[in-house]
Amino acid sequence: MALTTNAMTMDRPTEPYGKVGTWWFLSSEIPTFGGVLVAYIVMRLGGTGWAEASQHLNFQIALVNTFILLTSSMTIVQAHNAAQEQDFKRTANYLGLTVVLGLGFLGMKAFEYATEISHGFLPSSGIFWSFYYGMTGLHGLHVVAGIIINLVLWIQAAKGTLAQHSHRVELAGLYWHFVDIVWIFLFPLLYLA
Amino acid sequence: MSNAQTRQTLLIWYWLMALVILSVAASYVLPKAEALMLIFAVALIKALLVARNYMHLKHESALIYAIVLVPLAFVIVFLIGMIPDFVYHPTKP
Repeated sequence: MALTTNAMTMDRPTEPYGKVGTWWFLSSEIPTFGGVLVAYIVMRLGGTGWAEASQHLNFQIALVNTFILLTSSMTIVQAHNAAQEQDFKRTANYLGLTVVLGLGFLGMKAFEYATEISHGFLPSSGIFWSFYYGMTGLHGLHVVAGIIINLVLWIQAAKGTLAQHSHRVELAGLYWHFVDIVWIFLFPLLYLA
Repeated sequence: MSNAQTRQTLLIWYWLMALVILSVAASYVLPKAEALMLIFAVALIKALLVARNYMHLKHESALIYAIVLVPLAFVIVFLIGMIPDFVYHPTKP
């Protein structure tokens, strides 16, 4: 009998399905961004003039955006901590703050794009600019998706319907942190190297 | 919210902020090659701080590690495999 119970216990999944599914999704994102980053590194190492082209980027805006995104990672962790303690008012506040920071990141990025385009730097202006717009654009789309997810959770938290699904805050956080990690590598590759 | 959790979350955030400042300072102060090595080492540390603490990887099971590490290994193999390309076929910006 004891053996049967043990066997049944071993068959049980040790991780919640939602978490495993989210990690599976993120694992598919690793080759997506990893492939683009590797292509950028290889092309840049094999070429000349890339550092000069990157001098035209707005470093100050990118630095502020780095602080914004890292701070938003902290706020979504606080939202998760609050959700674990069933404090959904605080969860809503931190999710709202994460959404605002995400929108701030996009606003700054849009301003940066507008400045670069007004100076004549388009995706067709050279291979550096193709990579720049491609990589930051792909990342920006992921930020948009993260904002939508966080916004939905914020509405649920504010309406008081998040209690049954509070684990979703953790899953949204995993995705948001991944987007943050991608920026952690994009920032030095594009603006500091 | 427990104070210990909040303290830990804020501590990681302080580290992340400090590391950003360190990498920016390195880009101004150090020679190019040394600066780049430090900047990318710092980026790796920041990513690990986020993954281990904010994404709770340090408390996760072998299954989650496997899900993360297998595609990461593919990317590293891809990078190593591409090295001959930039050595023998230089590109222009």
